[in-house]
Amino acid sequence: MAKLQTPRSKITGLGASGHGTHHFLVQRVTAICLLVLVPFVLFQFLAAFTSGYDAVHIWVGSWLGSISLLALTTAMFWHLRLGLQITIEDYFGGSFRMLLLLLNFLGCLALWLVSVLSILSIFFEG
Amino acid sequence: MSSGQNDTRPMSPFTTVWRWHVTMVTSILHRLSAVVLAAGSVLIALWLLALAIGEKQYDQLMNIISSLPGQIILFGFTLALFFHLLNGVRYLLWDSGRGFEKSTANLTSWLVMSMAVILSLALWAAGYWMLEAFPGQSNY
Ligand code: HEM
Repeated sequence: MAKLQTPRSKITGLGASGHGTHHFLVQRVTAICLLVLVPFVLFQFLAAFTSGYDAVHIWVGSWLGSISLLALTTAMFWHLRLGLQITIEDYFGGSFRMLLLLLNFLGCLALWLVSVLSILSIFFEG
Repeated sequence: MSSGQNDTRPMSPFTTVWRWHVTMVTSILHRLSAVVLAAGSVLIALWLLALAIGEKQYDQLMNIISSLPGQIILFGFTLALFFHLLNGVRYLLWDSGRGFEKSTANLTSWLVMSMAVILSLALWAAGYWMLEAFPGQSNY
């Protein structure tokens, strides 16, 4: 890789990943979102969960419920993908690292899609 | 780590060489809680999926969760969540250049750990109280 790197790209400071501080910043931005969203959703959950399926279904299908849950799951799985990537990179190398990074990416994407689809289907059910 | 390189020097000798101190504990706990939350996030996706599929699946999942082992695991998730959330604030304050003094960092370590326990107990107390006070009734 070093041979392919031009002196210019070296001084623009994008580092080994080629993405500079982007990862770091998005980890921070999603952390701040979660800081607000997690308590906000916990309160709503607490108000709804005692009464079983119907009430929870109404909450998740409401505008407030579905928007907060969509925001929460999006921020959370994005944050999780970035965070697990760092953790994987700290302990594993070589092609096993690549495999784990791929699984991390696909896993977080799948869980996010399942969550979003579930919320939307409840929302549009009425 | 050093995999893939011919470098046999220990890269992270801190756990064997350093004296244990509280900021080290919270640092390790941040990563540990993050990995625990990764497992917890699978449960959130499954919970939403069950809710979308139907009442039978939702009740099945809730029965598993509300069993004793289920509740113990869920309490672990709660602890991890509050710890990670509170300790995350420490990281964000550090990013703004604050809180690096040794005495401050030690103090906030203890603060974050004890607040995580207190908030988790408080949330569960509130949950049990809601079940007692409003059985089968939603505030929604
Ligand atoms: C609730 C609010 C949250 C806040 C304020 C927060 C904050 C943070 C911060 C600041 C970091 C960066 C730490 C570093 O640079 O080493 C981080 C890392 C991480 N977070 Fe969160 N987080 C939150 C919720 C979550 C949730 C819900 C999950 C899991 C679904 C999660 C998973 C992770 C992971 C896997 C890492 C990487 C751990 C590491 O590098 O050791 N976080 N979090």
